[in-house]
Amino acid sequence: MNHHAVNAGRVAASAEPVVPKVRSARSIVVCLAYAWLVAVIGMALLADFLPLASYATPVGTPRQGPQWGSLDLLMGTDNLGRSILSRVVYGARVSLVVGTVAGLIGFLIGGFLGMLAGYFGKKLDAVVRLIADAVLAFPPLILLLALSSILTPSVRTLLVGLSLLVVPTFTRLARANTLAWSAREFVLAARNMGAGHRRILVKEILPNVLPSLGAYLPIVMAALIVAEGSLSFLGLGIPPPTPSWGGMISDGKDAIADAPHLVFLPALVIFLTVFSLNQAGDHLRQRFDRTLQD
Amino acid sequence: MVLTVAGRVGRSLLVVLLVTVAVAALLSLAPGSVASVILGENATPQAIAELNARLGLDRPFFVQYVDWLGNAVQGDLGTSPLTSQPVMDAILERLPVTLQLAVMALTIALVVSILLAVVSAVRPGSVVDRGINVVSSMLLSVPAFIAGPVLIYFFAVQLGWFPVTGWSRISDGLGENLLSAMLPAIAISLIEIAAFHRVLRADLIGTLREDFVGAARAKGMSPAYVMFRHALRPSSFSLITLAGINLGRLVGGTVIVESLFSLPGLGQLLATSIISRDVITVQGVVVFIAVVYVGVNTVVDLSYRLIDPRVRKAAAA
Repeated sequence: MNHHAVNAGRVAASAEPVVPKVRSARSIVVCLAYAWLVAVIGMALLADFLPLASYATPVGTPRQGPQWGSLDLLMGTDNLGRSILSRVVYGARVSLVVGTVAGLIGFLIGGFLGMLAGYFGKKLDAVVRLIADAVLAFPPLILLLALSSILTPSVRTLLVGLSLLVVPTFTRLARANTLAWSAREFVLAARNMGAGHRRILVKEILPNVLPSLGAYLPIVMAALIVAEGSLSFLGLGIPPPTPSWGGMISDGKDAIADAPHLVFLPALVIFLTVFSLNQAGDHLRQRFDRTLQD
Repeated sequence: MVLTVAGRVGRSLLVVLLVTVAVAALLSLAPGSVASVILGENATPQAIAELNARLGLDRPFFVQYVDWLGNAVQGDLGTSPLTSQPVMDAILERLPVTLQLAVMALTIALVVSILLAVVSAVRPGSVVDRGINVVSSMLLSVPAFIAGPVLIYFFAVQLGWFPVTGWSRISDGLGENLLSAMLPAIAISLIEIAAFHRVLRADLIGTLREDFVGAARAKGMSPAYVMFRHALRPSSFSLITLAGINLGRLVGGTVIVESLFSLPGLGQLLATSIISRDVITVQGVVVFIAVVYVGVNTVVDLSYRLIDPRVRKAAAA
């Protein structure tokens, strides 16, 4: 039903009416994207219950190609003869946990700071914006590299670095949204009825800021999964033997001439996941981000 | 106008200052001190303390920072304890490689994305436009560490058009140099193509709905003339901004590609000095990249006002 609402809005906004076929074509891609995400999340959650070999022990000779017959050999084996399927499935855990947790931490801290800055303005706003600008002054990967130069790689330090990376993004988004909402009449009405700052922020502004901020979460998660993959690719991410998608590509790249599947399979999985998250994010933003519709 | 420029520049300087403090503070927390890196793992605590005193690393953090900042302003970012090469020299030695990669990648991205965006915008919503959009959102999901190996496999290993890895200097011949830089540049440019296409397509579609485009068409001008002479220029401001900002970002953002293709650029310097725990070089390179990034952003931000009269008016009002 919501699709029709979006359609109607689009037609009204643009001079040339949008052909409904466009929407349905995109919806197929979006549906497939959600399906892939559900599949990956399901695999990651149920990894321990799936009949898979351990990701750390060899199941056969190294660098076998993908083959039917055995589940463990479905995607072939890596440089050490370990099952690639098993490593992809367990690697999904790392990528998803890192993306989700760091995304949520950034969402909470950034959203909180951004709302305070947008609502109270003045000095607090200036300080928060300056700090956000300073963090954004580093190209993302450089900030992570600088952090990994002083911290020993582990899931925890990775989470700290990645969260730090996305806090300013959410701060800016929350600030912009809060600015727009606090100028609205219902906020003025609440204030005139004697509501305190805390009540206005929690009861009036937060429910409106939350959906548009949350719609960015998939896109941020996609960026985080790429960032984690980049770090692991450079050997500065998750330490072995825990599999990570970026690490698998890095391990396989020297054998790419003889055994391209070592690189292509994890690359395909990352691509599909990032693509799906981006599609989901675009879809959610079109529905929930007011700044896009105005 | 002068005031806004001064304000913007002052703000950027403040950001840069904050960045240097943050980096210095961060690195002072590093577990292995510089001295233990130089002397090796078996050094006695006494020897480490002596070397720290000689290098001035036993002083309070703030004193060290002010000292470092004073030198940095004069272009002296310290000397690497491992290679005994001044950090600034190491940076300048590697900067041309990274710059060439960034410029090549952006040029490829601009040419391809302008063509795609023009084709998209001619008939928005058509099969061609939708096809290009799908390709563009796919490219947006191809990070360099995926694009790199895939390109190597097809174009270097299978087809043999390009060298697999390595760098040829311009002094070894321009052709060789371009060949060795082409695959890495393409690997970087893929995501940029998608981003540029999205921005320019939206702006072009907006411009093509304006009255002056209708007037030009009514006068009987050819569609191609209207597109390139009338519509493209006023639609390209967001694209120029984005390209400028990304040039700044790419100066620090080619780490992956440089380490994959083993190119002697800034990113590789950073990656190797992180692995060898050369804190002084890391600090110098990170600050350098951040300063370039902030500097380019500021210039783009300001020149945007110069190029587009509408922004100037909006800022004045």
